[in-house]
Amino acid sequence: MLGFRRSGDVPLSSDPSARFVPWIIGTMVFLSALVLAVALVLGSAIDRWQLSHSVQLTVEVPAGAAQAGGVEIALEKLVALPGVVSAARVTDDHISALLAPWVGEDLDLSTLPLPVLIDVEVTTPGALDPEVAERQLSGDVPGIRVDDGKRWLEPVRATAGALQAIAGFVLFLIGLASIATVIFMTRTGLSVHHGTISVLHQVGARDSYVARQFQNQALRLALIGGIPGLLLAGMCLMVVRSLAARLEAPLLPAVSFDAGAWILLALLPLAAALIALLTARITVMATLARMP
Amino acid sequence: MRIMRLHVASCALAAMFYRRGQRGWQVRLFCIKPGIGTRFTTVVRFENVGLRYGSGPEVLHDVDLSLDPGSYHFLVGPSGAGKSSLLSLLYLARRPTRGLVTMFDSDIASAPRATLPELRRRIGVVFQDYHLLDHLTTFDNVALPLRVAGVGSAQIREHVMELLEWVGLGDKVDVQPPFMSGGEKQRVAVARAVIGQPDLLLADEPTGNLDQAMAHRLMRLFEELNRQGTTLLIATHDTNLPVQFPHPILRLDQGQLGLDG
Repeated sequence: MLGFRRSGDVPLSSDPSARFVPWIIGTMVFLSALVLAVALVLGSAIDRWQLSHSVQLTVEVPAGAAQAGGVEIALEKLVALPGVVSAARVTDDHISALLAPWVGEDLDLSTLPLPVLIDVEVTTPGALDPEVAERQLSGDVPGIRVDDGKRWLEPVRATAGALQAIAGFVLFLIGLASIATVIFMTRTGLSVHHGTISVLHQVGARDSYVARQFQNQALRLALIGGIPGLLLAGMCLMVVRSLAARLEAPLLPAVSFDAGAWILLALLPLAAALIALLTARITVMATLARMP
Repeated sequence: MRIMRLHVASCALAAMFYRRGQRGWQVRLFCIKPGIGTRFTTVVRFENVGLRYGSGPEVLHDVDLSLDPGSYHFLVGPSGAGKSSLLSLLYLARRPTRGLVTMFDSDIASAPRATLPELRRRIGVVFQDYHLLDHLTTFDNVALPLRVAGVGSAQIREHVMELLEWVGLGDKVDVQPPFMSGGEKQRVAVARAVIGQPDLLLADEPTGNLDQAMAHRLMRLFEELNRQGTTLLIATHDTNLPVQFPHPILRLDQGQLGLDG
């Protein structure tokens, strides 16, 4: 019998807010997903840079010392140091390839007084202190430099960290804006349906019963808006990822996510729904508590 | 002939309650409304009660009122005398500005807000303008007091259908109030007020929008509920009602309450 099918006791689905809130929440989830993706990409890039430079060092033998047989001495001394796995001279071809964008491909490197580079791999991060190694080698190879990349990595890392902090702040602002939207929607609903709520109270409904009507509506609207918002953000990220894959810029962070990152992104609509639910409940309970 | 029909209606209600009693109605009611079996010595006691809205003048002054369990009173008075304000205190929509209000042996003025829903479940109210929820069907409007009390859907279905059949709305189960006549809405409002078998039933001009036959039938229903132990207070302008159904009359005039006769 139709009589046993019922809508909510407070007719919130017919409110104007039921039309615009999903759009707002959807936009918030979309923006949150993009900002979170940026933060995750930066985070993984920082980790990757740190990992690669923590087990790799570069040794620079000045051109003069190299001509005096300094490269061979340095290689011999380096492999004898504790914690060093391997030490190998960077080939001229590799250096040519590295310099080609700036000096062209036809240049004969032997005409330039370039330092010789040695790639050193150590067993674990911090296994070789570059300053100590430099002191030990400089007696035999004057002017030698041992670089673990910290000098240029630190500012990059600081910049990426600042960007991550800004991303976190933007997420916080988006969260605040979402909460404000739900509070506005809930207060409007409480005002519009004041008569219905009075009837519910009169027949013995507790505040929590009334709050349940509003929190369920907020949850429903947040999911209706949040899921499409996430899907749209996912599509945008896929497009950016495919475009970024064509770039030949080794220092730029790779736009790729592991399973954990995807799960975190997928949780955004649920987080938005949970925030909406709790905000609606707290708003209703606080408002009704002021009634006689 | 009309009197015969009314008598039949009245007997039908008695039979309904009796039948429920035989089938363990009290046990089931205990489940519906935990407080219903609780003993109390006073349903309502007002002592020197005053009420004002905001910083305006007092609309009720020094009201003393006592309603014992099972009593039946009419509340009369001219428009603007404060009947609706007094009723709003009785159905716990407001708290008094001053004075002592005791309902079901609980001090209302100092009662925590969280305790009011339990007390309100003991009170049935028939409003003059019904206060039905237009977006709900007849069934859902009548089921509302049971639903907020957490009664199971099977029990709700059984009780509501039985009551709707009795008030002659068995074929209007799915109809919403905007599509009903005044008399039908009035019956829905009455059914909602009595579905939880309240200890106190308040009615504000319950016959105001009804034809004479329906008004008489409704008053017979109230008589029957009173016989079952429900305390009644009927606010009315209709001077004939206290004549046809002789019960003590409380007269409210310019915010002050007195007992007629």
